[in-house]
Amino acid sequence: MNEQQLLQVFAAILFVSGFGTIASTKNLVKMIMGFQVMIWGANLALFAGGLVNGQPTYFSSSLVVLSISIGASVEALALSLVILTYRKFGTLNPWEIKRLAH
Amino acid sequence: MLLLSRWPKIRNWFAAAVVATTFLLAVNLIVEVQTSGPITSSVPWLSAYGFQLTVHVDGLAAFLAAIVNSLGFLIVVYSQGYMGHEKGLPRYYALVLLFIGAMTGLVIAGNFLQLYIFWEIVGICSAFLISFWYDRPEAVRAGLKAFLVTRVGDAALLIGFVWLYATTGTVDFQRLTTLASQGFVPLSILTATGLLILVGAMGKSAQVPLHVWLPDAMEGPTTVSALIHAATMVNAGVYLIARTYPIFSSSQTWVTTVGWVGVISALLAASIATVTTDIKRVLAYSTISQLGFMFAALGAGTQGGWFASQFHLMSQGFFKALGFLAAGSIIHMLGTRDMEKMGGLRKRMPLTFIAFLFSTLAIAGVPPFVGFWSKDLIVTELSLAGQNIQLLLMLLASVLTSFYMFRAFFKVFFGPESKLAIEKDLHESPKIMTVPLLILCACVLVLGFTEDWAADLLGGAAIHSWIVFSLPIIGASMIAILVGFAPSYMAFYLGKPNPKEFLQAHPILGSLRNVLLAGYGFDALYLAVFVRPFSKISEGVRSVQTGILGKNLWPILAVLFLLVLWIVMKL
Repeated sequence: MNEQQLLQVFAAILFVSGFGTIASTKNLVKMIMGFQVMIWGANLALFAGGLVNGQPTYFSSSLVVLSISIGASVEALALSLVILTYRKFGTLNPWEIKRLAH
Repeated sequence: MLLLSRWPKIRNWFAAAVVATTFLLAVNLIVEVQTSGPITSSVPWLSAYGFQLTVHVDGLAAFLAAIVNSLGFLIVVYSQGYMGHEKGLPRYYALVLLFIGAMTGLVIAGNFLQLYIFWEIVGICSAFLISFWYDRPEAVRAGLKAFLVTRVGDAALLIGFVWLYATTGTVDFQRLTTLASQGFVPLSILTATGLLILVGAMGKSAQVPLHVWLPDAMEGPTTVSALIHAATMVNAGVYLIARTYPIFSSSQTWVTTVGWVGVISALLAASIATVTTDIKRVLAYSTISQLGFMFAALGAGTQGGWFASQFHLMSQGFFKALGFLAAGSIIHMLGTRDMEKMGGLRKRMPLTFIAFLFSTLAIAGVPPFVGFWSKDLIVTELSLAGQNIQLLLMLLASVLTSFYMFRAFFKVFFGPESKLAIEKDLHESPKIMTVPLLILCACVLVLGFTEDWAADLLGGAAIHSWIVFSLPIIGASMIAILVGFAPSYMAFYLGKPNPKEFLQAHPILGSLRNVLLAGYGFDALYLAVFVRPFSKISEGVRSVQTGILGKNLWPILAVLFLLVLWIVMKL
């Protein structure tokens, strides 16, 4: 197994563990953390896919950097929504916020 | 941008300046391609999966980039006047620039994956712009409809090129062309993937039966309609077929299907355009019909047909932009899209009158306007290819085209002056709107004479031998124009016979009119077959949707697990 495959396997593990976090937690903040881990996995997979002979290339790495910065802004937005949710409902447990369920 | 938001004027003109710059760059591309041949440059991207970022600029790409950006520039300038008093202008200009930029990216993309990314950006921008006035329910519905209907095509395109990738291991246009021409791709797979990609093109280019989104897209601002119909979006499908033509042309089934899709769309849409009373919808159906002409030209299966389709794309872009911007000028001043409420506007809006006249003449194909050259070329190529049935049907579509355009023209500008115009004391639109109109007028007048030059750019000497002028063909299309013009002139200019009384006297025509007004019932059919059952199913499974992300993810996780298990078992 070379470096690239190692990175790809690791990316898959990150992705699945983020997925599992979202599926198993009952806390909105942890859910966003799981989401973040999924994005790391995706970014790592993109980075690993762009390696040529084990070396990163300019174009693919710059796209990954772009993706990271977009991910950061999405998370900021998500966290601000969580703050609003907390102010409105007084809880971070989505199971108790039943407005969408009906 | 924050700084610019304090001076909205600078912000708006900044958008125009950006498109002007890209237009100059596109012109520069044409010059470079003409002097030193096609430019290809690629950088490694996801090399582990065999993907590269490839920019491939040949004559076709440079030609389209120039069309997109020149029309885009004129439309953005026109927007300064037309959209001047709207709210949400930063959103408008951002989306318009993204729209034009994505379309430019689409035409210079060197492989399917890249093309697909820009294809989706174009799709999302058009949906957002159609529902620009998001407080109007119809606009939101129309945007959603455009998005969903084109999605059918997008899915087919995705399946098509992934299948091609699975077979050949590459998505690069040039490599695929080489592989296909050397016979490395089985003909059956070539036909199947080609047809899937054709469905994608039909979705974007609004060909029957995926055309239903385009007439509804008229809910957006008129500048957006002009952009969608002339510069971006609908051209993407025709471009995709032209770009992939060398790959799939060895499949005769594919070529024939492309041609028939075009012929049917051209006829159906032109017939619907003869009865609609909304001025923008007339132009929308006209676009579907003109795009049908392009598909029919590609279906001729010759290099001449290929060139004719792209030349008509340019021609359509300019005369349709002119038509929409002229219609927009009327709508802007009069505040309605209903042609029944217009009439006798020629004295109050002389410049708009000239613009719409030029557009009408060009769409109908009257010499020396640009429409004459391109439409004639299509008809000639069909006859050279020996497709006589298609040729006759296209001439019939020409008759209808001439009829509906002159109908709109007479209804809007002649006859008794409308009450609404007198009430509003109608006058000509501001200069910022009429100047782009006059520039476009000049364009539709002279661009027809660039045929030889365009042939040089797109294919060189090989295409020149296909450009022939045969008098019988020109005569036939002139007769077609006159046959369409005569009833239009009598009914809507002279008023003898009066159209309403005429319809009452002939009940068969009346019922035909109702069928046409319902758009042959495509909308009703889709509503009954897809929308209603789907809503029923959604209501049925409503209880599964808890609205809690954590709960909803478990089934996905289970499927993912099974998928991994399957892969492991296979290893």
